[in-house]
Amino acid sequence: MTKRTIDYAATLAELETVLTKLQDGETSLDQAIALHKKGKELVASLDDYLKDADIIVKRQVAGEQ
Amino acid sequence: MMSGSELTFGVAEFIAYLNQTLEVAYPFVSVEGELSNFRVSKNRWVYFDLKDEAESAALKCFAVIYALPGPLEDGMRVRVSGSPRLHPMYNFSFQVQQIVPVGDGSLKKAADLLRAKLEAEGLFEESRKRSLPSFPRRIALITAGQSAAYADFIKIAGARWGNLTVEHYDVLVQGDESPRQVVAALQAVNGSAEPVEAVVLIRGGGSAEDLAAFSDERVVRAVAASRVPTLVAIGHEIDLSLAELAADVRASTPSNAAELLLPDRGDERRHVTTISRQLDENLNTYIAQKRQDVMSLSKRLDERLNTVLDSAKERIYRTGQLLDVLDPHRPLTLGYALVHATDGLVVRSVSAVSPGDEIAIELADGTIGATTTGVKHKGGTS
Repeated sequence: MTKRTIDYAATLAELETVLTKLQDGETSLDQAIALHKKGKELVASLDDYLKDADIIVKRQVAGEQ
Repeated sequence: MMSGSELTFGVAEFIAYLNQTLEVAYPFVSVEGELSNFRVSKNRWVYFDLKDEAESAALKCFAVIYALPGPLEDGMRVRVSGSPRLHPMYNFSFQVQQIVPVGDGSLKKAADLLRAKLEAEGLFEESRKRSLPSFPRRIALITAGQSAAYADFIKIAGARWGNLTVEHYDVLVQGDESPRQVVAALQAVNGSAEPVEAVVLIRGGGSAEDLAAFSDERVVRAVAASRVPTLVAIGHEIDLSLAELAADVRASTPSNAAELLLPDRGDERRHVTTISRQLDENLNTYIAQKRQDVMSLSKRLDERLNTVLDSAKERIYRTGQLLDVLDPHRPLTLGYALVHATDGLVVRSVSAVSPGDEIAIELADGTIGATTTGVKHKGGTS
């Protein structure tokens, strides 16, 4: 599942970079549309990541206890 | 050796025999009392007496420095565990393997002494503190698996964030064995081939004695030495253990630890939604701007075209005027006439016609047909 494979912090940072690029006004219309599409894909990944998130507990043993 | 019916020993033999008896009778016992004549020799050997409150009895004790839970001083109440032994040269002593301060007063005193010592070493310095990861994916949790602290942490963590793998180290969180287990867990966390992003050490509330493990020097040093950032919450908000002082981040309760470590999923959703909306707004603004640019360009094109057209019109008008001036028929209005031969060409010389030739005389308002009756050159020849 996509949810488990993305790095939330890195994906969020990428999304914020996409938004900044879109805001700087230096891009062409084609680039702006491509950035918007990319941004929406990142939003979908982050939304998916935030849905139904579970905690996995793994029991560990530290030497002799 | 034995002789006759009575047991007779050599001195060394008797001492060895007595020690064997003591080992069988008291392999490991605990004795509680007040510290007296406490001293450390060569930074390695520890000597002290253990006395009753009434000072009616004193037990000579010996230990190596590693058995100390931290700095101790005379007057503190401690529980020592170990075994009695008769030394061939130094008489009877209690060989101490473990010393634990007991009673709130002694615990506080021990914690104060240790705090001053570790503070002087810089273990609690603010400059040592590291920040916790923003969105941790794997963490270690050191606490008792059956405790309310564990349940609270997992519950709050799940409610806030999820997407988290918790490597749980189930340890005793009180009692003499607790520090060793906590230290072993911290060492295991730091020795892992795949280090976690943060280690959380928590325990619920309790008496000063219950919480003593988290002011144990071994635990405090292990927390301070952890390469993995540490988050420690021991007891209630008013309790402050030395492990919390040594931690990178201190939380007031186990639930608060989960709140400090993990972002809130709802907040994150709102943040992502806001960015998503900004993406749309920015693209729409961008497109509107581009549309405006196109409109502006179109208007400029129209204006330019009109200018070109106006200029062309002006040129045509002027050319028309010039044509009017140059119109060969214009003099006809003044009474001049054009003479055309039968082929329609203008007759420019009398030589072009002969008597009898048909000609046409064009005036401003029409043409007169005529026949040449004679031709006369200027100067009189015909």
